[in-house]
Amino acid sequence: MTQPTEVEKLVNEHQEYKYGFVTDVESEGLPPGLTEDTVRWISNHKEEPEWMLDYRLKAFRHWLTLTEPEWQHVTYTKTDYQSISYWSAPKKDSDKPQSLDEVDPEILETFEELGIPLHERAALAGAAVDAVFDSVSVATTFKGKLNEMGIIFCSFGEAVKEHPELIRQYLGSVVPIQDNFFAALNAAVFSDGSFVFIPKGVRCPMELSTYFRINAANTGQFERTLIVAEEGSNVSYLEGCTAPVRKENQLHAAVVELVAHTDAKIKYSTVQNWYPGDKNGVGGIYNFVTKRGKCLGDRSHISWTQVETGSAVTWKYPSCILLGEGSVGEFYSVALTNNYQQADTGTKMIHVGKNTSSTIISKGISAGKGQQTYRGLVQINKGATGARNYTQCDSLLIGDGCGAHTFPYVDVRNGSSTLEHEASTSKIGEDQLFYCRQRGLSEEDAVNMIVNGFCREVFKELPMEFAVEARKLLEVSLEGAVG
Amino acid sequence: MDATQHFSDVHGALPPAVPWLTQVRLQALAQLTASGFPTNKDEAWKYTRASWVLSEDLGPQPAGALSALPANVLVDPDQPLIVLVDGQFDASLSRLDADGAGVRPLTAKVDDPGLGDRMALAVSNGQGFDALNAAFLTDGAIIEIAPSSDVSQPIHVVHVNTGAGRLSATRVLILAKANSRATVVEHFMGTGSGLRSANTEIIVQHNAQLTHIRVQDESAETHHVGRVSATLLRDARLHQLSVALGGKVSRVDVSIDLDQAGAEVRMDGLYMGRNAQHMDHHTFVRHSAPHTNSHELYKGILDDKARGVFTGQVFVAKDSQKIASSQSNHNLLLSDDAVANTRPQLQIFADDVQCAHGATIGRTDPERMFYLRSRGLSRAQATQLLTVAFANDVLFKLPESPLRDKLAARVAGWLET
Repeated sequence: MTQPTEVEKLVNEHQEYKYGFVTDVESEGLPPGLTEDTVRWISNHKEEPEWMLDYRLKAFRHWLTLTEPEWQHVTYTKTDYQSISYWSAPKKDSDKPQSLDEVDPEILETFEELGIPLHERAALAGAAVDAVFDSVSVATTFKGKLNEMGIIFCSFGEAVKEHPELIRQYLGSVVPIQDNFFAALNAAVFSDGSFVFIPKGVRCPMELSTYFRINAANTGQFERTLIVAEEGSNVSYLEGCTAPVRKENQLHAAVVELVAHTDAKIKYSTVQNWYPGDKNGVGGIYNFVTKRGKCLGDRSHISWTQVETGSAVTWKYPSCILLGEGSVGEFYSVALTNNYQQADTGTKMIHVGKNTSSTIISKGISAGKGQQTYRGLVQINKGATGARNYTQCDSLLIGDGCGAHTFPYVDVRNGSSTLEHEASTSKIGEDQLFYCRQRGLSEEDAVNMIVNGFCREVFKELPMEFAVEARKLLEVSLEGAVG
Repeated sequence: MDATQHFSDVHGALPPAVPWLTQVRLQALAQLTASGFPTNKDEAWKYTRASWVLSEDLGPQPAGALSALPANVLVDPDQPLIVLVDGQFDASLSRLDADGAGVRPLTAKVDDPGLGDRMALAVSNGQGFDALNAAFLTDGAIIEIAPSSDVSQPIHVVHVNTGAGRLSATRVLILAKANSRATVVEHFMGTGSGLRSANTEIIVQHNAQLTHIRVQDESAETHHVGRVSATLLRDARLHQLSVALGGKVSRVDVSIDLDQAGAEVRMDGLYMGRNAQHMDHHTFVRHSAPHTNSHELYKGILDDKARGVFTGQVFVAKDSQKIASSQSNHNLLLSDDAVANTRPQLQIFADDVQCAHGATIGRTDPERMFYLRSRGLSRAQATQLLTVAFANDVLFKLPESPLRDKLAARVAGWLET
């Protein structure tokens, strides 16, 4: 017997990736290929000052000396860096829209479909959205309000022009160009991104958010985000992603740098739902991201929260360098891999200052033929007396074709620190399932409920709207994994 | 220094051996030349450098003479015993008679084709230090536990080193035949300096139970690189305990293959370091078959500038369902300069599993300390008591026996000094 709701569900299932649509905007792109000229073209096109070009070229030259890392627990076809295009932007770049009304209606439609009508959502949630569509920021809202408080929230390109002294001071100070292969590549060819500066003593009145979206085919997207929180300030930043269906693998190599001064607090939340490839593991996004925060001042606080359900291959380790005395680093993560998705993710907590503390809660869910790896480092240096770390990483296995792996590194170099690490791997308990089913829940609902409970510790760290979205995402992503 | 070149240069100084062993040595030397030693790029050797234990003055040397066993040895007078002095079998100190077991030196038979082939096979997979072990092998022991026999007395293998700059390499084979039960204790001790390479291979057959205890109690200037590899067949049980007290830089690899259903291993370890001692333990359990269990408890006590390293890998192969595995590593740091590294790792390719690991690093619990001090114990006494209790947690996984008491006394003695 087929009931209307079931029909709906079946339709939804065949709809496959819900956000898989392509916006028909003529892209103004560079032909594929990467040479020094490409870097110069990008810099020139963005009308960047010379120091910015020098920075990019330095990074590019360093990148040439590097080889793509292979230690991560994932297998994928490597990107041919000469066959992708390093620039794509909406056509009307020359006369950038000055307000929402001027934004290309087609783009606005895209955002509508994504479920974030800019104005409404901004008004409802009280959030300013710096929407990144492909590579150029097309709309920035609530700017005036933030300006009044001295908060800078703008696209990276704009910041390079208007606040060069801040960019020069902080760019690359957390993730230097020498850091790794993808960070160097990003530094050379980054297209745009977001810049946030919270002045001394200011508490940002709204959640700042940005929506990343990869659109044009064959374009790697290289975002750069820099958040600086001055003494005693406080900011919460949201990042959410979806991307349309593409057959080829697409590369996303972003860099996120956070700097927290004395008593400042930065909360960075991510929901990542990029195209994971189809049921046979064809296509999908490569998500190779370098995210790192520096707790520069005493009692500063950086918190990473991530919900990773998308991408064919995810490879990222949001990290904290705890320099200031009594600074705090946190990492909360839910990662889900279904079908042929692979994720190698975790965090690094480097304790340098005295009485620093860090918490790591990582929840991995593996279904179908998904492979998931937690890889983390907790390093407590000699001078970090009284440091404290608590780590918990749990994995849940659904189906006999998936895998869950844990590679934590713990390095403690002084005797006054305390460290605890716990990890477990198991499948959903038969008795838990039986309990739910016996009370009339379908198997799928029961699994969703158990998975939700499993992730609760992380979800409660997310801002409210994000938590709702994250829960829905997990349910959608787990479809087809049960029964 | 080119280590592989150095070792092929000094290879000629080895005393002559039975033909099968000569062949194994040459094959292994070629293997070593080809593979070289692990570098710091090798994840398994991230915290211990091969160069720390290799030096120009290392080489094979004529065996020294020993009139009596060292004082710390755990042997009772009536227990079966095989003594290897500087890698050579010492008949006068050994007692090879054992009820239900055959104990003999590795090179007892001049023509031993089965053994030669087996060794050659083991060597063919060996690289780095395993190849070094086979290339410089002088002697060792073969212990066979007869089917269905219950060997009540522990069988001891005592490795004693003397002299300076010595490279000594031994290999012990333990075969626990079906339905048997036995305990084998390997004890490494001595005076002088140099590098000891000690590999042990264990096969536990159907429904057999084996306890293997390895005590690394080397002199302060000796480097120690060892490996225990065990294969467990259907319903076999192995309790492997590694205790490390001595040595300058020591590295022990324990790899267990749970090859058939019902196999179960308990792997425990206790490493205690002070001064600038460096102790590295690397364990690997492979669950190759369904319905296999592994449980592991490693503890470290680190004082002064000592460094303890623990890497524990649990691997569950695809379709190895119904697995239970637990692993714990706890480190007690007694000084501000001690360093602990721990890497508990899980690689799981099956879904019906229950695997957990935990690791802690910290100092003596202040609440326990307060409890004891409020009852009139001095800080030193309280620390001593808590540390002994911390260590005994591992030792008391062994059933009660005079051997366990001796081991506990040795550990307590180490802590008192």
